[in-house]
Amino acid sequence: MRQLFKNTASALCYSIIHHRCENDNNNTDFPHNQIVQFVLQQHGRMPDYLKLPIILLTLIFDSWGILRRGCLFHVQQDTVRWQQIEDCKQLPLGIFRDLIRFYESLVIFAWESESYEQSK
Amino acid sequence: MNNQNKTINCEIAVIGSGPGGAITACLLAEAGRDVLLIEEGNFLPLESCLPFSKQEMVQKYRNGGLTAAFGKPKIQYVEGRCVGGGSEINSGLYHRTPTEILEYWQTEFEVDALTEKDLKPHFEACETAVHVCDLPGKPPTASIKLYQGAMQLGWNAVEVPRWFRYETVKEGNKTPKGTRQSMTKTFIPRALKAGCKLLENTRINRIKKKSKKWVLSGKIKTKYSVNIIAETVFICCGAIQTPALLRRSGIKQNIGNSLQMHPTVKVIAKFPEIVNSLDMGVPVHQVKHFPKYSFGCSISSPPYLRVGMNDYSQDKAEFIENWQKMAIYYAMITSEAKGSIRCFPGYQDPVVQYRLTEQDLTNLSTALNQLSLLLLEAKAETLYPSISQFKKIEKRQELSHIPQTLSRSRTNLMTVHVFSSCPMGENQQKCAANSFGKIHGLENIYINDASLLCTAPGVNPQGSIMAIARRNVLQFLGKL
Repeated sequence: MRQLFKNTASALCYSIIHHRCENDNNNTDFPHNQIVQFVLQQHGRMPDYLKLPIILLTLIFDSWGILRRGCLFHVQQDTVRWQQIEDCKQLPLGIFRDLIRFYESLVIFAWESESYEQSK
Repeated sequence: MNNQNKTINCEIAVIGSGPGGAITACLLAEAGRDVLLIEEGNFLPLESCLPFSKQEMVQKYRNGGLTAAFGKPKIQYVEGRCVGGGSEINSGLYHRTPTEILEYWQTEFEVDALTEKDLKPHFEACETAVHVCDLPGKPPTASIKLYQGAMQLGWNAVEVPRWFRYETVKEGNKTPKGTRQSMTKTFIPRALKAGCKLLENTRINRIKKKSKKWVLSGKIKTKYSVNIIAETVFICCGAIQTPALLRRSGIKQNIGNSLQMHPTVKVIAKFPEIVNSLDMGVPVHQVKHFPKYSFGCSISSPPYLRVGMNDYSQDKAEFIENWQKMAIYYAMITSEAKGSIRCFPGYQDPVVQYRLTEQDLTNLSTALNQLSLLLLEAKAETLYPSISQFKKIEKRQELSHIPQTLSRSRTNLMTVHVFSSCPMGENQQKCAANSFGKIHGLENIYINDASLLCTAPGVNPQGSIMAIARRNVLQFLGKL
């Protein structure tokens, strides 16, 4: 379960980086592991009663891909993944909007911090 | 004593080293008492990381800054977890407690010796110790924008002093840099010099009375058990962790039932000219024109700006091209709600609940509307309120799109001010501790931090926390 969570969290992070952060010409395979690591480490720092719910919600989000496209979110192609993320933000269930917001905020903050902290 | 189970004896144990705990430990040590100051986080120099950076979040914030009060809407809050506590991570803006708030606390909570005159010497002593001063140069442009907008509307705006030591600036048109006079720069070194012992990386899980002494049980570096035996205990862990520790220890009378905060909604403004830079520093202006809410300008570094733009994902290009023309502003209300702090078996972290009232949401909406009006008056071109799926505002007529009561499901709120979870006073129906922080019904145990503030002060609370902590320690020492 832990590995599945890491895979899904990683796929979410890469989709957010690709669609919200990167410039189009920046498309190497795995250049942003430090961002994924930051997100996973932040998850590890969260209040203890929130850690398991985040894991479960992430896994439900991963499984939602089976209902939509016949396979888990984290093994889908990038464009399909992004569509699932965008659709999730429109769900009436606020808890899934919050889940995406959690990942987006951490990824974007970590992404912008890298260049900001280097420039300081 | 061995490595697995350590026992330490002391006269006075102070748990928590933020503004309340640092002053408590310092004054007690300087009075010749045997003091052990206990802190859950690390002892790091102020310079260990960039202010308001990702590194700071990792090193010095509790739970990496990912803490929220449950309710609808939930409210994100932050706490420091390092030697110096919140003083190591905040903006250092300083206010004394407003007179009308002190009067209200005396009337409603029956707090003795808390007039403006009573507190004046404590404010003055703390202001000297942490070097409270005005910015000796030009404020950041984004901060000036707030002031200009307020002036256009005839609203009262002030430049707020900070606990800071600024470098000398020869050119008057430059914003001077400086160093925050946090607890690790002021009271902690004084305490250590006076003989106070510091135990960092140590979490106290429970306290209990054994014969006439208090036994504090905890862990050092999450591994080694420690028992600290003290004649007197001061609990100074902040408005969330103080009631959490007391409730875990079975002390619950008026503890953790009346948490208050300043719920805050943000809006990003884009101006036609440059207002931001990589070394913009901390904005210093606040608008204090309305009794129930106030406005200010926030830290607006690119990472914070970009996260603030998260609700407007299609505006990535706008951010990349124009971040130097953008800044973050906030509207902060004095809420009428009361929150709770509860601990559950098997969990280390307390659960915080805070349910905003309809009136709070209406006040937040009015405040957001007025702040947006101010920013448009200051010639902002585009406003991005922190409301999910909301449209950006470009004209005055579009202010009517802000609902009269903010949506519980779409509004994104935060706060950096939490207090009042264990109010002080002689009214035992409402108060956890007496007028000087001694917990009602118990001996030799005191609270001395933000928990004691009876209600939301409506201003940055650290000035109030420090002055009241000093007053309480001097009362304990018989020096008042």
